Amino acid sequence: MTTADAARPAADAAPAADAARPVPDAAPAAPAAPSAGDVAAPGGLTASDAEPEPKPVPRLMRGSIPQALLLNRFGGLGTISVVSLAFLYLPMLIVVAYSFNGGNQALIWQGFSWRWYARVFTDASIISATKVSLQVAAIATVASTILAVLYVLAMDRLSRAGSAVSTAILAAPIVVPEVVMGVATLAFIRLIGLSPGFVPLVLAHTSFCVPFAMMNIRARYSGLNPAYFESAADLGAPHWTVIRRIMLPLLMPGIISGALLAFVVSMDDFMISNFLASAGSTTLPIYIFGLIRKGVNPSVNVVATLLLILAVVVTTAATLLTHRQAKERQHR
Amino acid sequence: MTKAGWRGLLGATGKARPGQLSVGFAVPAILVGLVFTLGPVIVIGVFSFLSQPETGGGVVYQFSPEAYRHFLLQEDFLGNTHLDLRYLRSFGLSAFQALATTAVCIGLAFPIALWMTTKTPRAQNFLVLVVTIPFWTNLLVRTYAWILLLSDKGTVNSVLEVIGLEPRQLLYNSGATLVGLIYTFLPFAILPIYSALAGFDFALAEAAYDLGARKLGVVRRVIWPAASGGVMSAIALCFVPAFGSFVQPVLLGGGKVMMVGNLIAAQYGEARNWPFGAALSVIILALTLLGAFALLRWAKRSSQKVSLAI
Amino acid sequence: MAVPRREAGLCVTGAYKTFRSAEGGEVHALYDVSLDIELGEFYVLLGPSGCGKTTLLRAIAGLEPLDGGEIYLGADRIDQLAPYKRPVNTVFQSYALFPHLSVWENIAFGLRMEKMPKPAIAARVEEMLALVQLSEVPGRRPSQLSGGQQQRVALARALAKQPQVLLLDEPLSALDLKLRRGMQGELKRIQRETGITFVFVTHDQEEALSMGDRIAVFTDGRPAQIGTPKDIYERPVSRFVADFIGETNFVETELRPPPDALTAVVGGVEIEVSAARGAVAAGPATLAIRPENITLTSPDASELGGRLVELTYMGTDLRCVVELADGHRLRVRVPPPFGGTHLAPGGAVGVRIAPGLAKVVSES
Repeated sequence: MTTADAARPAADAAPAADAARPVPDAAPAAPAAPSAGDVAAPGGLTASDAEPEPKPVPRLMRGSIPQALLLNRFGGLGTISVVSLAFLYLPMLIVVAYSFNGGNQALIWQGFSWRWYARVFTDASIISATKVSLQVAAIATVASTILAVLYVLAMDRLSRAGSAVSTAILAAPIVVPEVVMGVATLAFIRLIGLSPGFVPLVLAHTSFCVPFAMMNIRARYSGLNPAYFESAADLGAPHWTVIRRIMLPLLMPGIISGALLAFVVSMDDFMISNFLASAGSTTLPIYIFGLIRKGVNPSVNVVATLLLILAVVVTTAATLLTHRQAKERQHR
Repeated sequence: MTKAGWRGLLGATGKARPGQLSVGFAVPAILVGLVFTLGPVIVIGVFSFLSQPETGGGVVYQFSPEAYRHFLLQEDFLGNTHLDLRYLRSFGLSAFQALATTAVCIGLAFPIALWMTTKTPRAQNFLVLVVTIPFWTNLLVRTYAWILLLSDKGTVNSVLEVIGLEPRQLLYNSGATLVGLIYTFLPFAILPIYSALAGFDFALAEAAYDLGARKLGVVRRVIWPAASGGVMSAIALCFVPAFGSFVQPVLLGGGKVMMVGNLIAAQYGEARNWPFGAALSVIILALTLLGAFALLRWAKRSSQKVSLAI
Repeated sequence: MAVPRREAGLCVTGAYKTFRSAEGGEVHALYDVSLDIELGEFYVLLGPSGCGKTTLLRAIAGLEPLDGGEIYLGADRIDQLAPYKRPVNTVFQSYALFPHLSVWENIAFGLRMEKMPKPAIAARVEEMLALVQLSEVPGRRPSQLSGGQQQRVALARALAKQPQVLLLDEPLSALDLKLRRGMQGELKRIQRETGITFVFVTHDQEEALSMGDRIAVFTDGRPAQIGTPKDIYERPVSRFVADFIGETNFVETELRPPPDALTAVVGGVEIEVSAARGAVAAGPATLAIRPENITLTSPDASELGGRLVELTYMGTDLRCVVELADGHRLRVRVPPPFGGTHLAPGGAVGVRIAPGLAKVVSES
């Protein structure tokens, strides 16, 4: 989004070529060698059809690069990288470890226990905050995903200028500093006569989830060969049938991963929700922010671990979905 | 607005191709963006020129440049105005923290991204996942982890004790804030640089070796230029949110570290000065847009691909 | 195979299509194109990339609206119809097999769109699978098929609709050479068996010559020549056609008015020539001479002489380049046997051009 050449977003056929996108969208190098060769059909072919392999798929020859580059001999490179990646994970792993601490104090290890998990699962405040978060996230995810799908399916018909402007508008929640977005939304909500609470939360979350939901849907869409839809029309499918029977099924991996990411973004949001929530609509991040502010706390360890698991599951699922699509594309 | 009017505004052309929807279906998403993103931004701009009520939050609909005056000037009891550097200092601190964060993140991310590209495709996919997971992990969780590490009886101090060093106060200062910021934004830096390098044709590096370049020469003259678009994206992606950060200064800086984000939030909380908070928001937003504009111009001039959004 | 409804040929009149290029200029993809394609014909649109042949195919399919002109199928005008309402189907260059559907479902897709009853669909799909010899793989996904198999499924899917015209957009271009040869024969067989009119787009002149009943050679958005393969090869009307199809020597010369035969001077010697298009005025002209219409003799056996400048052994023949006295260079193929050859680079040779087989072509 908002790339320098935002004027023609659809031109980015290869999603991976798109600059920075932390969407779990795989290395542009795509999966290893095409594995198509191992599914050659046995029998049923005439002699003229005895081709040993499917049509050759051009592939990136990257395997031999590292040696050729001799970069491995930059001694520091690997060390820096491994240490940095450890730096990324170690603190979180410590949180996970402490979540199983049986002691009353968060920081003094007194043996393995599920005790704090049991405590968290029966803590009325945490449960109600989780409920609010799940409700907001569910509505925002569905709404933003629908909006994103409709936009993506229509975006090619926008003029260059229209596309540039709407891309900028839709990407704005990512570019504007969160704290500004938070206070601005609060001011806006007040201005239109609402007061903080569940409805403003849902509206704001829907709005800032749209760009996140859209990233993967858009990448998937621009990777699809237009000939699929032309051929469906050619075979007699009316407009809506093409969309229902061909477009949506082919778009589905992008839609699912987009929805998953929108869900995580909504579940995680603290900054904007903080300004919009009222006493009755405290979300989970707001609640645990309050707990953390008071210092380390065994319940927070547990909640943090659960949120970490959510991130791992969703990111991995979204990555697997995009990998499947990369494989399909190789066979095309 | 009539259908034709919408079409004109959005610039729809021709008939929808099979599988596409007509241009009207793009409208709901754009409308939501206009109302709930652009709308609030405009409102905050307007609020910054309004007056503060006698008590409580909110605004009085009366034009006043007071909020912007308040940013630089202060009146004492006698009615004399003099320069007030408190808020500028917050901006300075934010800028310093954001710059330091960006510098460290880029310094680490470039070698990491380069290292990632030397792996097999399968390993690269895995490493991208490894970097992406923290990105999608709750910010509070990631910040909280550092409280566990740095608190008085936390992991780091325990380790210090074991090896016979004095435990010390590690939390609640700007150093802890900086560590938290770096930790938060490192994935933001790695991913765009990796994206830029992953599309790089390493045969160019081989050609440079073949033509007699040394390793550092290859990195400086061949690889770095290819990565520069990604590096610029990474700078934008680290600096902007770090500049406006709120969570890390509060939780790791213990409220002693007052960055712009905290200043703004405070105006809508305990300080109850909405116009001033709005003015601060406008200033930080203007700086962000200016930076974004400069970056896009740079990108256009050097025909680099730069992304300002993740 | 049930006999499909065969009613009428396809007629395109005065078709125009203009694209705007990235620089803002206009590109005429189709410029006043008129064609008559007969019922049951294997009609080839041949030309280099960007000549408009694919645009024409897409216009017939309804995937690209025309800026001007009309398309008729028999007496029915079809250019205003939505693609899904035209009794015309396409085999796409990329095959465009739906990746989320099985082979069987892909072939059945178009029939389901017609709301054909289920047993009839099943019967038709079986029939099609048999026709393209893929009865063994109905349950597979397209990604599990080889390129050649995908090609057959695409063909079966389009033919299942029993279209009046089948459009094929470079359907063989993704296959390797050997497989392509096999599929060429296969396509001819299927076309004969079904009797459906085929409109086949290709940039491969050999493919066009071997498959087409008639060929329209396209350049710059319009047909440069339309005719049978023999017509096109032996009587090219323009330098472009002669050059695009097969190997040709071009000789700039002067035409002599015909008292009894049309003649021209080549290398100082008057030879008999012919023109594809009726009478040709005297004056400067370009001759196209196919290498196989030139024979080499001993220097004294022919009036026209030259010097052998290049000799390449190709196995099936010797490829020679002969320089004439006036500086023109001619490529010549010498068929085997090569024994007792008097040919040596640098040596003098006699050249004989078959009378009447040097063709006058227009420069455009």
